[in-house]
Amino acid sequence: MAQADALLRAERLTLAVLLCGVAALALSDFVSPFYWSLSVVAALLRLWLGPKFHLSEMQASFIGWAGFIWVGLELVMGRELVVAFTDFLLILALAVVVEAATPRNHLHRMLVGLFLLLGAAVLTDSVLFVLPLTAMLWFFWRAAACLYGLNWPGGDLAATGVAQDLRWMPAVAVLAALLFVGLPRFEFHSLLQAQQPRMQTSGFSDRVQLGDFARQLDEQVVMRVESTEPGESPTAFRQRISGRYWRGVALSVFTGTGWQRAKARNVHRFPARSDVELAQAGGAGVAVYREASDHPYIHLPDGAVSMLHIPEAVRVDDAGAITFNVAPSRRLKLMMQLLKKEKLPAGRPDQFMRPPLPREFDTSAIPTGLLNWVRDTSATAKNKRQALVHLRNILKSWDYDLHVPVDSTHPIESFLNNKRGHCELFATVLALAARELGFAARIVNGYYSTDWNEVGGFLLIRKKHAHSWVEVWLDGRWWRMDPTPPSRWLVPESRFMGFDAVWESAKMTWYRYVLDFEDSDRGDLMGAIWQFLMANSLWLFFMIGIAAVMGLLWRRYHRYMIALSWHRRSRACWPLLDRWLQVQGICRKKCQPLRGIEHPAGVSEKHWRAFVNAWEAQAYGGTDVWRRRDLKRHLRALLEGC
Amino acid sequence: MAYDPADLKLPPWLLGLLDGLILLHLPLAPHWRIAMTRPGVMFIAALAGIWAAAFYSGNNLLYLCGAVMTVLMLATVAQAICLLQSLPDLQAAIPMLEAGQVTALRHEAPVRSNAAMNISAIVDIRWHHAGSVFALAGRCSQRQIRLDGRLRSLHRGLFRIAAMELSTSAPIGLFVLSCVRQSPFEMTVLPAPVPWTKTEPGLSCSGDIALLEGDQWHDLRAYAPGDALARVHWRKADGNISNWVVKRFGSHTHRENDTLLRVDLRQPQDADKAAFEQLLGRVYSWLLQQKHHAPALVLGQATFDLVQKTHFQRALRALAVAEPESVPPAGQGGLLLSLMDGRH
Repeated sequence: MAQADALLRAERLTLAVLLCGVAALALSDFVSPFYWSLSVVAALLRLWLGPKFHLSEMQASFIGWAGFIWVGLELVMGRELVVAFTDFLLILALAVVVEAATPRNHLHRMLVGLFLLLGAAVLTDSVLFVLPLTAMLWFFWRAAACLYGLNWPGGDLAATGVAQDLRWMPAVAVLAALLFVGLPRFEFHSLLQAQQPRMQTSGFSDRVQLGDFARQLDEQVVMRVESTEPGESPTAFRQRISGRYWRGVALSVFTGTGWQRAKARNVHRFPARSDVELAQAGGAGVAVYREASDHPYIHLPDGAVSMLHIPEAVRVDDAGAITFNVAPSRRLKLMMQLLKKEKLPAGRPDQFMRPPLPREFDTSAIPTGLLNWVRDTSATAKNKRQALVHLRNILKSWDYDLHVPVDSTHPIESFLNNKRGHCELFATVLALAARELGFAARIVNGYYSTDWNEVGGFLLIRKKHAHSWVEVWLDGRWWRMDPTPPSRWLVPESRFMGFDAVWESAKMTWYRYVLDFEDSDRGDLMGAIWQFLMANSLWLFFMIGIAAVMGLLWRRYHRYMIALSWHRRSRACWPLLDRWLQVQGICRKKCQPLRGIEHPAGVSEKHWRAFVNAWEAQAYGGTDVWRRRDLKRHLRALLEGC
Repeated sequence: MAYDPADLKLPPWLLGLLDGLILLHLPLAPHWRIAMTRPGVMFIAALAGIWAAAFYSGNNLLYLCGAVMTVLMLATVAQAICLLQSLPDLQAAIPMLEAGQVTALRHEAPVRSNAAMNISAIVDIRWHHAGSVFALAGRCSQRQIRLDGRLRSLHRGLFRIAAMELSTSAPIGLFVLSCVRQSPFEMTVLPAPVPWTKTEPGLSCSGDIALLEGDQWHDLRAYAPGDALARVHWRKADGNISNWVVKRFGSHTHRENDTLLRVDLRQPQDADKAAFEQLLGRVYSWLLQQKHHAPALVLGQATFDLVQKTHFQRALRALAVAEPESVPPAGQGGLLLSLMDGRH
């Protein structure tokens, strides 16, 4: 019966190990929920129905082979290799879950669970990964200890108590963290780097098609920005970083109903691990955590003067767009140097930015309605520059409306009639008006306005912050003009702001201190810990002292209570014990300990020794203090020899 | 252990490789060695793979997995070290053996109270002497260790054991940690008891008593190993051997004369060593029979007052180390046990 219980326990624990692996892999967006739910449902059935719900090893191996063939077919049908591989692992997990519980099956489950966890380490970078990892540590330990205790000569070992193992776990966690921080980092190849599916772009785009706004501006985060300046307070960083435009792509070619990029004439290429210097100036550092997106653009904030140690090769074109060669499939950390806010120019101080091309003066596709509106509106202006500013101010006074219907065949006329629309319409009208006034102009897509995370003290750029504005060539450089009304930024806040702030802060901590931990961070971390200790040393010393005093007091109190209880109850027990000893022919002197007297006749020495140990253990709190009835029970047991 | 990779039906060459690897005992510290079990070899291989992948790619999640698994490995080693260190001195549990006889041992002892270990484990305890290997299995559970084993020594003697080897694969069966505990102890191997009578051929007994004479038993005493089973009082016996009693025969007068046994340790030229061992076996048998009646023993030149427990123990130790002597036994009177048979 005991062995059956131990086997059932081993069955549950090894199943838990496997499920931890499945849960870890399920975090990956590469994995189809259908496949992992198969294993989970089978595991739940197994837990519910017990080991009787099983297939033979042969039948289970058929499932594995069928999975192998199915995955081969998936590959032939064009499924991605990584996705097919995870499908196969999960089908294998299903086979192992329903396999008959044998020692081999236990080993299968632990191995497959471990492989699933390792697969997940490559296929996901979610902060939730830490949950299955921790659970795996626990269940792996318990399952291995359970399996270790089975089938010994003389019977199975009793299970080690959960409290005993729990006592070790904090030390294990701390040691794992120390090992993680302390080990040197190498990166010979990024093949096994943690990947995430490339996020579908919905706000930012390098094309503009005028009409009804079809894209979705949701809360999804595209970038997180934190300070890398030592000692910079969150308030100072917020002041430094907020209010900057994050420039993505400049669109120079107007087609009549939209904008396209102009083909770059000069492209500068920078290999991975090099620095991209945009301007000869010093600045303060920021770290930008860029989510994997389906576009290759790097968004640079106003005042960006350099990017340091870029993680992958990039190219910088003459319109100021910086792109990766291929859209990265993982989150990247970009180190940037920014000019201080008071030194910010209205455009980017970019040495690669070229003067305007003829197409940026092109007015051929400007609709007549816009030409008339520009002529009428700027008639009173003293000069063209004043006219341009006047036009921008007029546009700023109109209404921002994301959902206004726009005639896609004549979008600009429709917008001029409505006097309301979205930022691309505002930017288009101002850019074309500038061209009509004789200035070179283009529109720029990027991000503006950001969320500030109070919990973690960093900046969040979400899809809803996607924006379009205008760059006009004035006085020998490109100047930014934003005609969009300020009402654009009166966006409603999400409902769970507090929870969202904490969750985003946890994710940022995960990215900062786990996913993107580098050798250079080790010193920073040690420095931060040291600074924290120095800054709070008095409090820490005080708290430790208080805790020590409380511990000592509690110990003294505990001992006193034990002694008190022992004194009270033993006063009632000693006479009973002495009478019993006299019956056995032994006369105990006053204050003579039991250990000092002969063991009574008729009582085995072993049992008497155990009795004396138990009696003395009361005085030290090793066991509850006996009442008279407890003593009687023990004495009866002594005579009965058990 | 219930997760041996041999269950995976691995090819023979791989199993052979695993078996070769588990023979490696790497020094961990002075007197400490570590080896792997078969699951341990697989665990180490997996760990090496994880670290290789982590170093190759710089993937911090692989670093994290590797760190967790490495710490798990270190925790198993640390727990095993704590377990072995928390074991009490086991030499006190080792009984006196009888040469050529198997002694079954079952002994329980608490683990050291200062250790925070409360894990379930099997500990192998081994020591060597003169080519013989003595092994016990210790089952640790609930802060107790229960020693089980069958000990057998071929030769009589008082053996000084310099060290005892403790090893365990607890707590999860990945590594075998062994330590040599340098706590010298003595292992007493007594001669096998030989029940005897005064009239036995080849043995000289003087005195008026016959130990095993008479057809009415007058007394009962506790059973001791070596007692003839025919003397066991079966009607009073039960399943517990410690409750068995043995009938004692002989008259009251004879019992009074039992109180002194003089043993002549001289060995005749023509007597072989086995005869001397037989003589000692008879002395031992007599000791076992008489120990509750406070007799005295003269073993060669040494005299023991067996009333005192310490003398009884010293008598046993003297019996274990007894060697042939050239002089007659000390004292006079009592029962004389000798191989000289009138030649003295």
